[in-house]
Amino acid sequence: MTKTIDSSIENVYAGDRTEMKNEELKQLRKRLSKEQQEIKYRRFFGNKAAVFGLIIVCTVIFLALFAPVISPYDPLELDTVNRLKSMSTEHLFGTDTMGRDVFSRVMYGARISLTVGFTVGILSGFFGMGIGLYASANAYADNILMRICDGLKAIPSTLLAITLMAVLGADLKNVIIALTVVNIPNMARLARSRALVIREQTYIEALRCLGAGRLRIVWRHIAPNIISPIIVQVTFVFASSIITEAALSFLGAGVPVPLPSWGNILNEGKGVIYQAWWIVLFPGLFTALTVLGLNLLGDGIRDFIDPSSK
Amino acid sequence: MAESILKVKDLCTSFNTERGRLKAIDGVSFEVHKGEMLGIVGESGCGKSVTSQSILRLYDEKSLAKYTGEVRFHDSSLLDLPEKEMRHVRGEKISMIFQDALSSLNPVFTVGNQIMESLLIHKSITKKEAKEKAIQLLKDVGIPDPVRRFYQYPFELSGGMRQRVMIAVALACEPELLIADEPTTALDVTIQAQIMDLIVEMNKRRGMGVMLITHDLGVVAETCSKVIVMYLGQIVEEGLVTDIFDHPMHPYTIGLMESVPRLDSKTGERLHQIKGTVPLLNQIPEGCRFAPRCPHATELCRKKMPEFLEVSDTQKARCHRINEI
Amino acid sequence: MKRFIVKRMLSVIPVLFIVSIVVFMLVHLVPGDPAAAMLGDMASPEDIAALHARLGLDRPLPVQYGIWLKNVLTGYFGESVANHQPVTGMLLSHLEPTIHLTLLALLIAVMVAIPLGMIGATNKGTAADHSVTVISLLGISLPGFLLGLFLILIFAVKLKLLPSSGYAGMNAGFLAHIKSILLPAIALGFMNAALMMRMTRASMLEVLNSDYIRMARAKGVSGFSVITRHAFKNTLVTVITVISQALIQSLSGAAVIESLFAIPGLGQLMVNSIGRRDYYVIQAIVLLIAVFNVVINMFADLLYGVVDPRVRVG
Repeated sequence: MTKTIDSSIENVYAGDRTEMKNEELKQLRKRLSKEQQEIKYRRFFGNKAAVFGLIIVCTVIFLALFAPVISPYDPLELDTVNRLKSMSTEHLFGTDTMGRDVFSRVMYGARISLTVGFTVGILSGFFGMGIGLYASANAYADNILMRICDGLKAIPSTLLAITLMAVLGADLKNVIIALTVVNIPNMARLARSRALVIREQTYIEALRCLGAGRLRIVWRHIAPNIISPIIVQVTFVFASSIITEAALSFLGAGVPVPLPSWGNILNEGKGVIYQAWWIVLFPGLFTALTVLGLNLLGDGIRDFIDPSSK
Repeated sequence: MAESILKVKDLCTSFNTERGRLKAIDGVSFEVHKGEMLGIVGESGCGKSVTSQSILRLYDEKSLAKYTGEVRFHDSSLLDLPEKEMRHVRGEKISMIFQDALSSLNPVFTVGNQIMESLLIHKSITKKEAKEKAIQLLKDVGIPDPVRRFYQYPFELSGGMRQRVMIAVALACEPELLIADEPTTALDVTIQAQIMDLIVEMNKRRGMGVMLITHDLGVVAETCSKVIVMYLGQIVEEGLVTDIFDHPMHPYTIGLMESVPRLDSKTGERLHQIKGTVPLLNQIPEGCRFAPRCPHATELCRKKMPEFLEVSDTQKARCHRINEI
Repeated sequence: MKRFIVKRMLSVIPVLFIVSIVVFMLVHLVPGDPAAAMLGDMASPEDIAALHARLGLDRPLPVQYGIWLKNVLTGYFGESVANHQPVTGMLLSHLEPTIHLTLLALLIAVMVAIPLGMIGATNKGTAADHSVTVISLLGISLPGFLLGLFLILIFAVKLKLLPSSGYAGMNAGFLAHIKSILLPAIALGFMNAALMMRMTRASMLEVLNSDYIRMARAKGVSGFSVITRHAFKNTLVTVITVISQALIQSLSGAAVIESLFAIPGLGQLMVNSIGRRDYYVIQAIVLLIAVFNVVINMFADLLYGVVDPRVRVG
């Protein structure tokens, strides 16, 4: 739909510059740009799935931000008398093997998950874009960087993350480092391929002829044009990092206990799954819902930025 | 006059879109006779291709398109035929060729395979006979070394050659009607002429009716006997080639004629342009569809849709002011 | 075609070279002395020095890499620090459960995903299509170990139909064997199935909207034959891609699933080795899977060539 409008704007420029009065032209452009805005707005907010995703993500962010206020207990507080208690008004999600309140732990766990997901998304987006842009502008570096990316990509991401954690040691900081390293190659590849496409376009050539410096072209003209696919990718990395963090912590190779993370709550719950299923169910549901929300949001942003990909 | 083979009456095709049901063509009627070459012209988006594809019902009827009106091929009503019988019309009685031969030929099958397919579907012949026939067809459409080409894939052929292959596919079952949807648009000028010659030759030699859909008025003037001009899903004018080119009646047709560059025009003279652009399908004007762009439009034109009026025995136009312009 | 095969096979060599360097370097990323890390806090300085020398850690890196590569090429991955067995033997003894689990997971994913993806595409916009889209979206958001936990909750804890952990080999009977790996295989296969469904549907849709499908219909090809002959062969490239990716994903995802279900495969060996700081075992498994990945991708590319004549030439 937008394409038709764009092309009719072009037609207006091409065909009727002489015949159409300036005023008329202004009017038409105004009308078209308003319509375009409207379509964009409708495309995102008309997309029920994306709005649903946005609501989930906002809710989880809210819970994470206000975890200290919402949580009725200290997530680390032991209460050995009330071990493995089922759900009740006192303990909404029950208690775990050491009598800690699962609800409070899940709320605090949201902080860890979101922190990891967000930081990894931003860091890998930032470094990936930097590396991709650099590679696209420098043929020599390109060869080396892309070969390294290929090598890293040959190792499946979960496996690489586990291995890095094994080597670096279980620690929140290391989880972030490992997941960032895992996600950079894809991000760099994406940034590079987009940048190469844009480099070939005529206006970049025109800028080059005008004598614009290489750095200026890359930063001022290419970078802004590749940012949208990167943003979409960052959303998906956000989602997948939450999954991988949970998996790592579940294996005991991620966020170390007693710090509550959805993954390590699940790990503790696994051992007592026959006696206390709630310890597994709730953090599990939260993880799945958050990831679903992020995926829906990511799809929505992608369709919004690039409707043809639908 | 020769026997009429295809009769289209009040054909409307509408599509389900994000913005509701949109009518891409609205009340199109025309006739094609045996051995006749009919040209359909108009800007892109005027409904030429929709008309042609609606005749063969190529749009998905489950969720996308809806056809109303009547399409009569000899004695059968195509819009009412069950899918199974419709298949025997497609490719056997009525064939179609498309604009872009590279994307219209299946990339993973050999050229020969694709020609044989039509034959094997519609004729009860053996594979061996089909192969011989296919090679003969390749020869007929002017492809040198047909045996070698038979075993090649579409991407190994040049653009003109691919178009010839598509024509061979379309002609395989000796159809009575060939619908050619912009058959030469994607080709070089010299190849264009060759392909048009080939189509004309097949039309003459086999007495096959041809519906030529194009926006190239020159091609129409050279090859067709009758012309239909479409605008925004409607026929705005029809007539013999001589009618349309010598004394066009509809302001849109006049505009089209004047926007063609001529060898005898003065240097520096500006080409005529039709003011404005084709409106979107969901913004169809209320009265005459051309009124917003028409230099002669009056209040009446903006209010009321004009009838399709007879100008002479052979020419008709959809305009309130045919007698005044 | 011959040239294409040779070219593609040769192109594997540089990738494998880079992979070998990356995997080799993993052990050297350990903060401090790897020998000290492997022996743990209780080790005496003499022990550490001895191990340090035995592992050749005092030589220059390129020399270490050369020795390591030579060993790996002859099938020697070093010795486990934890139990002093050769790593190769440990790998072999843990191979079977992983292979069976991965294959069953792949089989489930392929059987479910490809037909559903095609049904979704050919019935675009209908209820069937919407359910396919929703299932695949849910699948993508539900990591295998979570699904595994939920499956355990339902089938082992509540319904008591299937075991929640443990592995029964083929010698325990085929049924017992399948029963022991059914839940893990579903958990492992579901996310892949979701991805496959998505990609199959998208690629089928693209093909169905193409000009050559319209041409085929204009030729009078029946609806069934349009899909099974004209469209299917063109979507095969995507199908090959998704299957090969799913195979790799299952193999690497097995690490988490195997430890969840206590299946004594490579994945569990790897996770257990993290705690034991048995870096050579981890290194060997990563190398094995990475090489397998490269080889699978190569085969997938070769298959593209078989399916699509354009790939052969290009």
